[in-house]
Amino acid sequence: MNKKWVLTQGEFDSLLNWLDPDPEQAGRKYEAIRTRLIKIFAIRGCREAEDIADETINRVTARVAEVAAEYSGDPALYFYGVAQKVLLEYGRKISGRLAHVSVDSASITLSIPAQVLAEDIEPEYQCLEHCLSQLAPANRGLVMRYYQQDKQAKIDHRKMLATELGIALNALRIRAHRIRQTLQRCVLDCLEQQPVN
Amino acid sequence: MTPTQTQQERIRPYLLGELSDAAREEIERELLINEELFEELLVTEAELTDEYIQSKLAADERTYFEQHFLATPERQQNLRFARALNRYVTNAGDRNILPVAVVPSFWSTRTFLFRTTAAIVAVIAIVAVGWLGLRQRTSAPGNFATLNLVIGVSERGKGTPPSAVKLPRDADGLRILLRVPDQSLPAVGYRVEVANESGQSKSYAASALEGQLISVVIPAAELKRGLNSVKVFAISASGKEQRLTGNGSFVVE
Repeated sequence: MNKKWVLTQGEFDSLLNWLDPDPEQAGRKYEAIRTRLIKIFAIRGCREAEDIADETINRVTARVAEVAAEYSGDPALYFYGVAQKVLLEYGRKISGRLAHVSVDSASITLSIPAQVLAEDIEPEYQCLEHCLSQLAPANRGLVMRYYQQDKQAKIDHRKMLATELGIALNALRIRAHRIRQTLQRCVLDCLEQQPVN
Repeated sequence: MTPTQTQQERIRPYLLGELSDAAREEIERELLINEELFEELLVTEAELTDEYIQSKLAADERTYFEQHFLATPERQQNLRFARALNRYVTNAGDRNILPVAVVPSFWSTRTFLFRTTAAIVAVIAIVAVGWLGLRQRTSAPGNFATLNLVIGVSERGKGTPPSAVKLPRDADGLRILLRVPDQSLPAVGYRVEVANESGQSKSYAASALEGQLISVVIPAAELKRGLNSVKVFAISASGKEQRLTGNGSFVVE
């Protein structure tokens, strides 16, 4: 897997230029591609999703001079082609290392650490309380009301909330999720600052 | 680029490993170039995690979730965060921090017989409404009339008439946008109390919009003709309520 490509600044600049002539836009596109590759690898069950995404990007970068001249279409799709090959290699590597684990092209099954399924979430809970207090009042109220209630009551409740805010249900769903992401980032930062037992 | 209905519908089976290789590749290509579809994926991923912790996934989905979905450290973090959020919101509901509809002054003055009869009627009504709700599950938020009100020192004594609103026959309710005064208490929510001419009052949860604007929705069936007065309460994170200075009023024609 780790081919240890040695990339030069020139190659990396060429990659960014291929993504977009505007450096700022190129940086955004690069980040978007990397984030999405990581997510796709994670969905395929790769525990080392970040490493595999970086390996994919390194391989594309190493070839960018020849690819950019001939390739037409969205560069992100070229990354996808390379990603599939890298994923295949990763699958072979895993199946060699863990012979008892079944591996197919779709996903790689791995056991989950017991503590993940454990109920003790006190550190997260403490941090969440702190992070909720940091949110703007309107966002705090929205996220708490959006996630309250159950089943049919929840559906009706969310319709009512969407009407109050004057937005469609799906827009409310996305807005609540964005606040949730902000909260989660805050909780992760908070957890990192806590002393390790 | 707005995702198509088909693409949106494929996200959940994609996350649960239920797509064919070809369909999976198609959705992955689209995810790389379509920002909105990628956001839809993130939202659905969080919803699946919530369904898992609330034991709402089917048995096969649950097995897949545990064996594949939770394989990465990032998703394991997501699960722990979702558990904390779920517990917090549940606890907040138990502590009554979250604003819910209540009917304080009216019920406390009624006899036991009246309350019992009303409770039976209410149960029947809830069943009926639930049945209607099930029939209309796919409908979008309905048709609402809108009224703008300012909560402040009453202008009635100065001869300014209260705002009037005429509810169309097919309206589902009234959405009131309330401009509220500055408050010292940082609010996580608001409760709006609406009282009609007969002295009956009912409370509604309200949402904060931008600035000092909040929004509340009153179902048409609960609106009474004539003068209605409005009081607003800000709710703090500890569940403490603070009545905001001033009143608002409107007339339903």
